[in-house]
Amino acid sequence: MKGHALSRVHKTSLAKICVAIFVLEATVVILAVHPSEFQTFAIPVVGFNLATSLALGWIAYRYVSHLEFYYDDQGFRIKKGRRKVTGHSWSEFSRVSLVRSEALEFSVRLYSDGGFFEIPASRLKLDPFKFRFEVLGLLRGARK
Amino acid sequence: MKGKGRWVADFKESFREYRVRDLTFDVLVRGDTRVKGFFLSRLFSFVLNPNYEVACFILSLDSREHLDEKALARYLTAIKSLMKKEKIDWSWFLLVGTRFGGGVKKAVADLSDRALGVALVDSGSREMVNSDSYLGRQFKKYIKI
Repeated sequence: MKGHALSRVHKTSLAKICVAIFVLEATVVILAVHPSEFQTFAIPVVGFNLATSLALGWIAYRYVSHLEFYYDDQGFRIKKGRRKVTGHSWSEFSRVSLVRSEALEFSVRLYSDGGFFEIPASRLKLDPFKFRFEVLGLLRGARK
Repeated sequence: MKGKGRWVADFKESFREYRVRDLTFDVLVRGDTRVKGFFLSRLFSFVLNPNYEVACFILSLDSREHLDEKALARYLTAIKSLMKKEKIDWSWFLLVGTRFGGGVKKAVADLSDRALGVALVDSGSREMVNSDSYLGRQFKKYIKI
């Protein structure tokens, strides 16, 4: 089987980080600048905050929560942000399930003897229902 | 989901081809009876709803497969053992097929386990038989054939 590599931007996570940075910057401006001065520079200040929150948000997103996923018929590798890389082979797992979180995001859960590992299918923009069956097939193939 | 839905439980996890001992269920869905949501519905659920662990087992038999009373008893024993192991409070077991003998239908109708509801759907004759427990009788509300 040819390997699949996925590296899709999760817009909700990116938006959350950008909004958090914008709110932080806006709080600093509100505390540091007097309202009468702010009125004079309102548009440039808000524009600057918007531009920097988008730029910093993108950097923070790539560094902290962007997911890269690679899988083939032997196993898979998942990288979160710039640091954390986790890899497993399909043969380590014996059971597959589809799990829905409270945020209505789906993950494919892989059970081994010692616990489980979740592949966040919705965050990777995979069709969770199709992907579950694909993983079921890969586990069957790895057991042979 | 298409069409009308009826709230039964908050099912969070689904398995396909779930094996218990040497038996395989086509589908197993697991969840609990506590509704999630925003503040008020969460509070309402916390105060009024018991948080029972629930599971629904589905077995679909094709036209060649035949299920007898012995096989039914093995499936029920497997469900009960899993319920004990996984601390599941309530379970439903739905059997769908076309070749059910009168003995199996009677065995299902006579079941009265309070923690397990069983229903047998004969897709050929469009007939449904359910166990006599409260959970079994609930199937009549949930399933429209």
